[in-house]
Amino acid sequence: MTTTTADVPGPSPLSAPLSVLGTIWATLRLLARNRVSLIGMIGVSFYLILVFVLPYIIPLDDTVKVDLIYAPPSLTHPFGFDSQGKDVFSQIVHGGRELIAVAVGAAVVSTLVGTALGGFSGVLGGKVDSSLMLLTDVWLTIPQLPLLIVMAAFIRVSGPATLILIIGLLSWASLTRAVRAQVLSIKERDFVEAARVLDLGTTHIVTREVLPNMVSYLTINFILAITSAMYFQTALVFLGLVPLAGTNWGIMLRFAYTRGAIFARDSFWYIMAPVLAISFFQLSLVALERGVAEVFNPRLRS
Amino acid sequence: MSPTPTNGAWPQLSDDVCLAVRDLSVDYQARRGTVKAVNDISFDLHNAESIALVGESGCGKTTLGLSLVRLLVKQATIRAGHIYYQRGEKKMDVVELGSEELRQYRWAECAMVFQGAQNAFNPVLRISDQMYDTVRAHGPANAREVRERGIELLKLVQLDPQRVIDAFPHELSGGMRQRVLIAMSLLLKPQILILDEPTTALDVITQRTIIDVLRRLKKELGFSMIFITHDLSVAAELADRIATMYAGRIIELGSVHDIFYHPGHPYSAGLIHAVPTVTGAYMELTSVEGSPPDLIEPPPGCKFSPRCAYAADICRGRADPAFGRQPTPGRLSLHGRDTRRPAGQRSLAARARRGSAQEGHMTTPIIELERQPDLQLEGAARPCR
Amino acid sequence: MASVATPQTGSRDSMSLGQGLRRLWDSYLFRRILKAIFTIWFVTTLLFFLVRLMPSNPLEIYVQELISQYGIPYQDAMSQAAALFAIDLTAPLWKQYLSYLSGVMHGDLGMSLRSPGTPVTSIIAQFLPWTLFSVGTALVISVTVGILLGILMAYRRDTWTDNGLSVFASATTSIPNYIVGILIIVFVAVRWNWVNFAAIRGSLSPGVTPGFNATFFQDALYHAALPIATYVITTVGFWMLSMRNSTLATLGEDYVTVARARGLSDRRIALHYVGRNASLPLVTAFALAVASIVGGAAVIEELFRYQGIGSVLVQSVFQRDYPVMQGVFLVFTVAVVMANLITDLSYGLLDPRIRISGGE
Repeated sequence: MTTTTADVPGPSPLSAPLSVLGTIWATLRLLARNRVSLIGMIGVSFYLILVFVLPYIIPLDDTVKVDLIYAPPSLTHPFGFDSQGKDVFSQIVHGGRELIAVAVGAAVVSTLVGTALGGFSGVLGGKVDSSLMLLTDVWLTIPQLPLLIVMAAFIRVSGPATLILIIGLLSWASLTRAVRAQVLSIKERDFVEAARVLDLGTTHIVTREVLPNMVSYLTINFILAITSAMYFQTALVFLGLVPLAGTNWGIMLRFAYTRGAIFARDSFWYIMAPVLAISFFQLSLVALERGVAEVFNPRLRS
Repeated sequence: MSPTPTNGAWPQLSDDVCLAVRDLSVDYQARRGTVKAVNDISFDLHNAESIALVGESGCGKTTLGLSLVRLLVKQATIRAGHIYYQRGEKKMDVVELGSEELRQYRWAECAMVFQGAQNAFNPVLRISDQMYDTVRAHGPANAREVRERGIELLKLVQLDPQRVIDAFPHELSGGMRQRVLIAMSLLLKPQILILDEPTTALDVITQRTIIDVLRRLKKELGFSMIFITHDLSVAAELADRIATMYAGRIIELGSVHDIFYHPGHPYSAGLIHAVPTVTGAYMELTSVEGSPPDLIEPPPGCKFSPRCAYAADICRGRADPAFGRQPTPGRLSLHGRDTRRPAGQRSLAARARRGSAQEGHMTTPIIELERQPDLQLEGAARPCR
Repeated sequence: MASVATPQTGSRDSMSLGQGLRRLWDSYLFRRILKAIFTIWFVTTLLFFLVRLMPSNPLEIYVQELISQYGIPYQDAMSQAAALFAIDLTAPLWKQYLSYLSGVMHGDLGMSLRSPGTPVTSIIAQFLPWTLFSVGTALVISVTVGILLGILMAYRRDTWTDNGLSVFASATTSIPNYIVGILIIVFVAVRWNWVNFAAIRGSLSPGVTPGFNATFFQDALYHAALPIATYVITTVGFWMLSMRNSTLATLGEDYVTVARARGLSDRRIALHYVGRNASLPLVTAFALAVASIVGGAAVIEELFRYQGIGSVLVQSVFQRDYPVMQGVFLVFTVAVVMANLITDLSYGLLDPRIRISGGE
């Protein structure tokens, strides 16, 4: 053991992925010790199982059953039946995958764009920096949901990819600002100064020195980006501004609303099912975010 | 305010005592356990007298000061003791006061000038408004009269009232703010003024001004003063008596002259040694070796014994050290053992000690030491008592 | 950003034009106003090119529609479309852009496509007051309640009150506003039957006309109650949590201890010493809050069938009524820009330590 590590100069190629796994494992264990983030982790795991595992076990109920319209919940049908007599729970099980995938995709896009622009801005400085910051400021001023609604009038949302792009490109600005601020502050620290003295190049400085110091910050932002992408996406679906094909929680919400289900006392669980699904998804993520913030930033702990 | 009836008997106090502290103990609730920050403190403050509380940081002097106006943080409790306050017919035990009585007592009877007055004022209100707030809190107030009184007081602390009275706090320098706070503390003509490190964090010239202002004010207005400092030169200039605190206790209380010339406790002597001299080289500066004891799990016996050059087994072994319980008038020596100078110990006789502990220059002579006094012991070979 | 200090060289009368401009540029206020104007220009331009250059260009669609549906000749269709969009389609693009821009500057936002002959400005004038009323009321309630509860939470730190309110605040801020709206409808209107949803929808009851009388205000408030409740519930948590943290920081300040030593009453300290200082950092968040609440109005008004400008936006998107869409979106942007500007200006008034005239 000791001899091998002593002989190898720097980390061996094999130890890198292992150490990353180790870091993730250690982080998860740290998170599990925090009450808030534990709740968040349990919530998120629950949703992952609900959305990615259960669809293979519970088939989507797609048969119209007139006698079961708005039938109340039972043990085998926890949320009862909808306006066409279809099982609501199976729709919940099958109606989350695409939403969550789009939300995560949009969060990836906005995180990448925000990090790249903020990084550029902070590292390059000068004219690039000031014009990018002006653009960011302006973009932050434009109300996002109305912009999204207007965009929906011009761009045909043909599939999840378009939705990911539109939502992802909507909310990069606040992250850009934050990343730039972080880069500027990290730039001043000793280890970056050392790297610069060693003439290691901008790419090296950004990818090896600056980014690792921002991992916790980016994680927190990524989680929040998922929640806001979820909000925008479901809002669009709920307003009926994107094609209503297939089954998802937003479409369920819209149908329950437009078919007057919210005014009929029988249909209580039909409307509550997507409401609960979306709400608890958001709550789990926010709990996870709070927990991560507390674990990584001890100053937040009371 | 009517005389407050207090639980238990009112102690026998002579008429010229304005504040009598008896067996006061304050605890802090910390994560590790209970910090006994102030222990069994008793002393009398007389009319127009000024007492300096000196000691290392963490010895409990600020806690003691805060407890006199009951401004302790939430984690702190007064475990035991009494703080008797009297002003003519007005008699009260501050420890027993209810919240409204306490509010009236604060500033009107006993005002406190805090350490670091840089932040003592609400940044969004003008000085005049904050003065009005203060008077208004203690009864009906007339804005014009308050303003006139404020102007008068600002003059007394050598500030230009026209410039200061309507200023926002950020428009004043640190030294000016400190003086405004002193002026404001006299707004309600309190009988007692507590000053916590009134000159710390100020430049030397401002320190000088504030010390002069305080000395003159005290003479002209005749209030009593308790001031907390780690700067013995300030204590020597302003105090009538000096109380040395260690590990939450007053270990020695005596006149300025006695403390400087005949320190009874080795710790007092050590503190005097810790003052740099004007001309002396740094080598001569001897602070007290070691660091203050852990107040959660204090050492057995005499709390100073681990650092005491004269400590004997008897000091370390006793369950209850019980030193300095009763401050008798005059001076109090707490260390009763034979303290012939140990070998190698520098003479306790102070070298000319003067000046500010902070800067080490630009200071004025305070005391002329003519002889080199040895430790004066009251009752040699008597155990600590 | 590193601010370059301009040394004051030379006397006042020898100050050149360049120095004068430089000083103007250094003025915080001036730069803020410039940025606001730039933002509005940017959005106007963005909208112009969206309408004009998108692959499924709404102008051409409209012209095609006119030709195919009504058999109008191409020239006439073009001129009709030009009038509606306030764009002369035969002119080169840059000319179109300039004339559109000058139209916007003169308050001409074109005509509605779906209700021909109605200028977009009059549609805005008709629906905007309702949104201003409901969103404004909600903001006032939300900020006031949030700040007071935030102070309470900080004073009762780590008690059941604090923990309970913290959970409430975190939950309500993370649940989407339309879901809160749906829950209000489901419970308040349907389950508990407290209000008649059919009657409370819209902005006014039939027969009530706007005017300065109690009936009108009462009715307006009644109809706005559910949207206002939704806005308040979804935004109050943000103010509560921000105020809680800010108050906790302020409580540790020396001047609070000194105020207690001065014998000030707890109430006076809580409001004028703690509250006033702790709410200063929240002022900067005000503009963001306006942006999010105004943005949310689009969904919420649609949900409650409240006839405000947000509802008009959604309807115009459904009907592909581009001039209306453009105009309404511009109004949204102007609202947020104004909120930003007001925030920047009021901050200097609220905090004497910050002077607007001197640079940053």
